[in-house]
Amino acid sequence: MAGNIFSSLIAEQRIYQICDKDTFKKITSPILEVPSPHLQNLNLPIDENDGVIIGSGAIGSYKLLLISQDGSFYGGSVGEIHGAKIKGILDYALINHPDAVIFVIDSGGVRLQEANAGLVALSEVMKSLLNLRYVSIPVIAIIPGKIGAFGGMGILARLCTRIIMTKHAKMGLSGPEVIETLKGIEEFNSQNKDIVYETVGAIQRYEIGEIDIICDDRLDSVRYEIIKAITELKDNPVLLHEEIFTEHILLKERINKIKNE
Amino acid sequence: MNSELLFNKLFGVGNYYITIDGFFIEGHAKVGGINTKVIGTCRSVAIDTALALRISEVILKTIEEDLNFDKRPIIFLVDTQGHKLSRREEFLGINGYFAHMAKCIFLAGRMGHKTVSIIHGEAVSGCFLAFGMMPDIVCALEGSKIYVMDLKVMSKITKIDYDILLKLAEESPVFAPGIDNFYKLGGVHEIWKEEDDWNEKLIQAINKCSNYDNRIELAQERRGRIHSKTIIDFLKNMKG
Repeated sequence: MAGNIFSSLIAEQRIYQICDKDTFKKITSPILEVPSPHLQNLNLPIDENDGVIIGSGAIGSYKLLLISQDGSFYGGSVGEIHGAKIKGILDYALINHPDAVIFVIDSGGVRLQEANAGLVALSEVMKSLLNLRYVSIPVIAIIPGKIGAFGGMGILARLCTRIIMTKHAKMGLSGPEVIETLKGIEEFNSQNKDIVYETVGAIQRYEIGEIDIICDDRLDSVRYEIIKAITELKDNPVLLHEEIFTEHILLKERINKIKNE
Repeated sequence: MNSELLFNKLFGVGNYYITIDGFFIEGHAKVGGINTKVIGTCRSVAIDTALALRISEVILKTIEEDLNFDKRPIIFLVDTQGHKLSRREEFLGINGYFAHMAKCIFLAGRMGHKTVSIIHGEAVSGCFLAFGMMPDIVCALEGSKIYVMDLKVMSKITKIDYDILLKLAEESPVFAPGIDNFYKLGGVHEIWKEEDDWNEKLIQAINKCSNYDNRIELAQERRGRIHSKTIIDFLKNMKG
């Protein structure tokens, strides 16, 4: 059934369906429904959600806050309003301690049409997210594809407590097209799906230890992994400073290994 | 700017011991009578996984060295054209190395180190995000360049005519490269002019460090981002 394919759901449905039936509540207010003033100035299409849906919900006894980027709106890119909404919900989480923040990432990074504002907003989101990490409130990223997680959002994804990627999703810093455009097709052929997937695809990410969890692109698989991750993190919270020192060793080993190959 | 001139103007002749290894700066300096750690990059280097890891390593070493002592402020000297673009770097997971660097700077702040960055050349996109903008206070020297993407590059990628982008850049500060634009948006706390006393400025900047991120207030005051604060305050203060 097409409805079971997680990545084919629209942004709001993704987080609606993650939650138990009738528990998801989208946060709405005229205060939030500000279309990007910068896109308006450029006479470009706008959206009252500015490409991101935020809300609250539950799975069993777990209280959740949820964020879902809309990859169909400027590639899920982060503009001023988009970023402010994410920062706001993360700051709310810091005060109200949900059992987890669920962040469905589908974004190419900063929105070029308002690049400067987007970059600063994303920086604020990074610090707000790290504030949650510092007090061990879990932030679980789900990267289901269409766009994946690239640019600044590829960095942000790696700040989360856990990353769940579906099998065909991608994550990196510069997208293959960007590298090909700037460095030539001999550096990176973005049309060659195998090369792209071997470089930034979910399985490669899992194998080198960039992500924790890989699953089928199905709603029930994604839900299962989320519940499992929250339960594990309840029993064994991740301490940020410990993670950083452990990660440092892993990243060092990875460079050395590839250098020696 | 020549590194020696930069160090002399920031720390005063004889107040520092700093080495430059390729594109990597490391050392220590006395600022306003206190010891500080200096970590940085120069000559507009493209930061790759190895350099990001090297920066992270020195931060973690500094945290460990100071664990039972006064926490030295860390001064980050930032000059980078952006991250290194290559398939190999992507294969290695360069986004993870950048995230790690950002976490290390954040952790230093939480462990009691005051953190200041000084943009002394260029700061671009992901490198500004994960390096230049992570410290508590971000200062840019007059004449430095901060941007997300060179307009010529942007034109290639978006397939929008360069002249059109150039015109858009003139009309829209949220789009155009420049430290003044980032100052307005709160992304740069201070711009230091050529004639300023940079040593004095640095002492003041260290004193202003705090774990609280005040950039949204700065953006509001400077009329750079006028909607963000209302949105964030609304969400933050919702009833539980």
